[in-house]
Amino acid sequence: MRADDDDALTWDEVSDPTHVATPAARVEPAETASPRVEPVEAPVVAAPAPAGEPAKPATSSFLLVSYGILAGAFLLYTVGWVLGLRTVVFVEVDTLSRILSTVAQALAVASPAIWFGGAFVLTRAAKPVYRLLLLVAGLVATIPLPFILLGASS
Amino acid sequence: MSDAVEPVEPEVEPVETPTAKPALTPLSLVIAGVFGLVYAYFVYQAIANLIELPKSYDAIGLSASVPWVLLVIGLLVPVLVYVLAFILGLRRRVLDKAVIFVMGVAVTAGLAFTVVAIHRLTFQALAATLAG
Repeated sequence: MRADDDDALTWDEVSDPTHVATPAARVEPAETASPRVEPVEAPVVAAPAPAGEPAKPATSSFLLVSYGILAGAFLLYTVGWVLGLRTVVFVEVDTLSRILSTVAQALAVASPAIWFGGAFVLTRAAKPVYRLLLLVAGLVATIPLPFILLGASS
Repeated sequence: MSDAVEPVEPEVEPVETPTAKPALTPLSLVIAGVFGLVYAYFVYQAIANLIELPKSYDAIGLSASVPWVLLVIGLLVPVLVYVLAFILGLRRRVLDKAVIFVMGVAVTAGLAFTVVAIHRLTFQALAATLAG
């Protein structure tokens, strides 16, 4: 019967409370001519499928691990910017110039975080591979060269 | 003969809008203008360096060693990043344009301090050769 073939391939009612995952619980309606035999061993209450949770395509673990590694790298970059800019001395005398310089320094320190967040915003509708590529490009664009070139103290 | 195959890099920026949107709406021009002011600060700083740094090199008798290349790079960076951010944001939504400009400003700030750091490095090398 066609219905049997389909049964072999699909879980037709996952949210059905009587659905039991064990093969022993699955009654073969074609072979048992008599009205349904109660499967004795199968506990009916076992694993009532998570009916409340809609099946959503979750972020793959590979992507999550990649995001985590990249986030860690960008965090290290931020530390590198903080250390690399500690030695920057400004000779600006007027207040406005000093404020603007401080803002520029803050932007440089925040650049890895800004790129990380911006990459997610820009690729929100794109495939994850584009997001990863944009994040990797950020590892080049926001590299804390002052720290790498001069070190923390000079 | 090397058999190393260059990996074909997919485009980083996917085009999200299939329908052709007008490239320059008034709002997008306002955003470009506001961020232009921010980028202009870095251009202003680079020009100030371009004028002031040679003076201090002159003062210590090293007018032949002025790092002109570095000074010009410092001037080109904010200009080029702004143009790039403007082009990349052309067919995108207003939010995306702003995000691209912000990312560009952050990178520009970092590169500005990188130029300063490179200058300090070359100046230290110069001082070392003069002393030794």
